[in-house]
Amino acid sequence: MTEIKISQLMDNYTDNEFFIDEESEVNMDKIKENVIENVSGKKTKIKPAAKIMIAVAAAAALAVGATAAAAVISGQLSDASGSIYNYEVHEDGYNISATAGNQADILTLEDGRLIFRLGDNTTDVTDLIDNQTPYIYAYTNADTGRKSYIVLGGTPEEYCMVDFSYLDGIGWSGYGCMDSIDGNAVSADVEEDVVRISFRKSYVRENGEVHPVEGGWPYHSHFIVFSDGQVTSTDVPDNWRDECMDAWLLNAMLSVDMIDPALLP
Amino acid sequence: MTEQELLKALQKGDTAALEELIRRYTAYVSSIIRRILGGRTEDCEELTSEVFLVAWNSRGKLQEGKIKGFLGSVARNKAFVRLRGLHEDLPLEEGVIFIEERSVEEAAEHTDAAILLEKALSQLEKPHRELFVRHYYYGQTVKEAAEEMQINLSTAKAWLCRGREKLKDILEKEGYTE
Repeated sequence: MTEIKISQLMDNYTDNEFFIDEESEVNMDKIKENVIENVSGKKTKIKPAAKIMIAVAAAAALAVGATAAAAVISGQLSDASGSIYNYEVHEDGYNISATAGNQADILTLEDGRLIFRLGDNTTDVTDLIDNQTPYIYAYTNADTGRKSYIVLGGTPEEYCMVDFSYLDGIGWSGYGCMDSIDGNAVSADVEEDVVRISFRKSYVRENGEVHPVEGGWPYHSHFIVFSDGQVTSTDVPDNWRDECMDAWLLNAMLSVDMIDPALLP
Repeated sequence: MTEQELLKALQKGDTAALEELIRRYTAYVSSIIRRILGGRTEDCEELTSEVFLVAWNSRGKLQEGKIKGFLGSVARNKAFVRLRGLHEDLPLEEGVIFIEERSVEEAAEHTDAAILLEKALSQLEKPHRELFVRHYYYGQTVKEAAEEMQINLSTAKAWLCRGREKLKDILEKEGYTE
């Protein structure tokens, strides 16, 4: 005998008959505004955006190997800068939340100058970066032995930070970009130039040419994640797989089509 | 804009298409969430927004003709997860049925669960179907649903029982496999 949960089976149902003409009691404009701000990246500023996205990627990476069933994964992790993030992966597999506990100011705008701070390092990077020239800070996390890179780029008007490191052999990255004047996300062009090109350069410089391989594990199209092949797609919980594979394909295309080979070392 | 055009625009990353999606389906999505959560308007708005974010992030796998079903399914799941977070159990009347297993060879071609469900539900009289949907889709208690439909509790339970039997019958006949 096979057990069928009726409520679960009803996920395949679409109500076209009973409650279809009900007036919405929610504020549609507010919902629209919320959603559009979220997808266009305008809702969060650079530090929260960067950190939250990093945490989400890490949470996703940590979820690898979890069973496809309804396990809720939660925990805490820290990055090399000492920031602490709480993350939670909900059992529907879609709902992933991450909250930053202790934000570290890595790249800040002070009196019109861009200041990079990490540990004992304080560098005025204003004249060292632009939309094509990254400042790359490579380091090894003393606690974990993990190789990490921070890639900075842009101008005082629009600047970017990419934070990239390894997590147990799985590459992961996150970034946040902001317009220093209004706090909103920077233009797509700056993202393309600073994030993708400079990040790519930094990675290739250290690791050689990257070829996305089967088993790459990006969560989000904004993440450029290169797997070392230790993780396979079958390790990904079922309800995540399609989305992951879509994103992976997107990233494979990005790495091939959107990076100007002339810019690579 | 047709659904096909909407889908194409969404998959190209066009946020105007996302706005259109929200305009078309907010009433539907929020109605599911509101029915499951009760009168928590604030939760309803938050979860409705989350549903559209999920749709956006999953736009690559949305299929023509299945957008509404996808949104409804995500809305239900989010609302039920929220309910569980509030430590409110889902009060389902006999939430499972057991069907005879059939071998893959014996079963006809695997039929889409949505089609089987539609087939089973279409064989119920409309009031019976409504009750089934209220209870098993929207998570209304049998008592609440019975009151709103102005039938007594024992009648409601009998109708639900009939619905389960019909569903079981269809699933077995069609060789439903998960």
